[in-house]
Amino acid sequence: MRAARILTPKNILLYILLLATATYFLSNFPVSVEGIGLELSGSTLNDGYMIFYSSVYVDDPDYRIVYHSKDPDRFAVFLDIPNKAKNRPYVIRPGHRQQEVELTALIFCKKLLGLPYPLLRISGRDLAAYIRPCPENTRLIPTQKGIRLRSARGWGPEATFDFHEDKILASVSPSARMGYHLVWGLLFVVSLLVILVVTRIRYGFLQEILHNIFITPTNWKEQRSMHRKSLRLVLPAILLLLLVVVPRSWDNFTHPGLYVEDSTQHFNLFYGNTQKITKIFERPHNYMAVGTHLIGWLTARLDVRIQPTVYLAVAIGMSLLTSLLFSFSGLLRNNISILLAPVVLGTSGIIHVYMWNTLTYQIFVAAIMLLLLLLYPPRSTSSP
Amino acid sequence: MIWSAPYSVLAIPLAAGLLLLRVFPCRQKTLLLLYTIVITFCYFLTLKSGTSRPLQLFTNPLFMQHFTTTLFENIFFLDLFGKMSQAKIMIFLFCLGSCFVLFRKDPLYLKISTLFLLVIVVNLFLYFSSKKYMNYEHWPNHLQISLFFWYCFLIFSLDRMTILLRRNRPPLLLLGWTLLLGICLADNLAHPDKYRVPVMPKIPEFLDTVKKWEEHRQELLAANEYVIIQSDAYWRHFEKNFGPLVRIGSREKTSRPRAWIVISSLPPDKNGKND
Repeated sequence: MRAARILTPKNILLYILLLATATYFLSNFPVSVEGIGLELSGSTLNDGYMIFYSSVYVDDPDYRIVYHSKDPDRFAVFLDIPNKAKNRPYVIRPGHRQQEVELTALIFCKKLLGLPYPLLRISGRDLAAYIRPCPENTRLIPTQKGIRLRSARGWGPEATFDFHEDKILASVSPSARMGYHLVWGLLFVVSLLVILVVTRIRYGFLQEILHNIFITPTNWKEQRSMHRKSLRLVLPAILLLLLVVVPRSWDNFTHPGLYVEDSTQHFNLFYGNTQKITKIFERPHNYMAVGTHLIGWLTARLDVRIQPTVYLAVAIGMSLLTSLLFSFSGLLRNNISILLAPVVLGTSGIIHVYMWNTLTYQIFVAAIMLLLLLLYPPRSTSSP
Repeated sequence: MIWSAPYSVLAIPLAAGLLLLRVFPCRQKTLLLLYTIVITFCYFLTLKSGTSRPLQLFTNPLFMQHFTTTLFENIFFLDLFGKMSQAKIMIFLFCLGSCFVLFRKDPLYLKISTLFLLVIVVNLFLYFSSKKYMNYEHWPNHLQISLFFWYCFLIFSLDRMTILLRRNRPPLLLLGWTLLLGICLADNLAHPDKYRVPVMPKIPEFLDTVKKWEEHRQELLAANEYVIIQSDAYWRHFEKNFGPLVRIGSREKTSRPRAWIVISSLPPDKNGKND
């Protein structure tokens, strides 16, 4: 009887949809290796940035292979040599600065979401036949159990890297890959079905959830009434928050500084009151930050000795207000939540003390403030 | 506020979500939300083109992988529960799904929570679309908005839980808040930069020196000279092109330097210049 209920045409359609979704997800998330991959995790290359250049197409990003990994345990990083770059001469040289690192490489993680991925292992000899190092700069030597890459002095310090054959992998055929995804997709659907049957949950609740999200209008007047009621707790909430954050960051609150871009983008730029007001509309980082620049511009009119203090005061004020806004939006119903929410948001929700003591970081605080204000209930009761 | 921050573009999906999900079905708020969308879109148009590569998230495997790990490890697991694993993801998704099932009769909760999750994901999407992605990898800025709204989601869920279980209301709420404050404490202990960075001890001396030289401004102008005063960029960290630096006196091309004063917590030989 139960099986009949589960295998209705509507449900079968749902299973197909789930299978398609799971297959799509799996075929897009763990990315396929095209050509040959070298697993770089755990190798000496992790000590720094290493850039592999095709000596022929140095400036062509499609042929430039860049490797970067800070956390080899987390990222099983592969240097993937695409088919189109096959047989191109390669050189190895160390990267200079982080800014040079561009993620144009095809980098593959076999441990993504803990899923194993079908890959073939190939020998160092095969790899040696596959890629051709540039003779002046790099030598690729097949060894008994892998390959050895040796970069000559010139483009960087001389270095040798050994790769065990366990770390040299190639992609399987597309049909094998498809089969792999299908198996995982099926497993996903079957697991879901087992959960539904075992827990005896029918999925009428899904319809209810979707209906309540998209169709049912909200009783926002109740939210407005909660908002008004909550306002009586504004003062205790401020005091409680100050009681926590002030001793916590006492040193930083009592020693105004010119941290991060507060010095270059605000203090230095506007010092001496020489800049025109239009300067606040400039985009030094490709975006406008009118609010913080305006504060910097206005502060430049004050005595130089109190300017960092003004930055600090603005930052504390903005962060304090932002930590409080959610509590008084009318979304919280209990007094204890209204009082404690600012403490949690102000101490953990705000991710760095720079939000509390720099003008620069107010760009993030202002964005949060804007988003929270959108959640506030309207005053009038008129219908649209 | 819209013109003050690049991340204010998040107001577009949030306002659109509030409209589409009919959270505030009233004329005043509808107009305000539409106005917000238009103004934010205008701000969006002022962003310099070529600074983002939105498609890289879908075409570059590293981005997809990094996006997923950041979302789970740094946001949902609050950087407190180690590395992402299948088991942890399943437990998390089960808990998140349970919240939606438990509150299935509460439209406000469902709508607001959906919007919180939307903001969390879209904020990360904006960050991973940025060309500056690698430059900011060491800084947690990009997590700020996502993490804040994730805490909002947790607080909101905890608060609404009391509607479901009215009979056991005070103990449940207290238990929940004890847990959340415990997480908050653990988070602060694990991340001391949330509340403390080394102070810049030389700033008062730097400011006093600037003030002192400002009194000689006219004299410097008359002599067509200038003085440069510079201090540390961070605590015990001096960089020539970063940190507070002012020029007092003449700004003419023909002007001559009278002094270059470096007020640093480092010994003079490591400062590059000192007078």
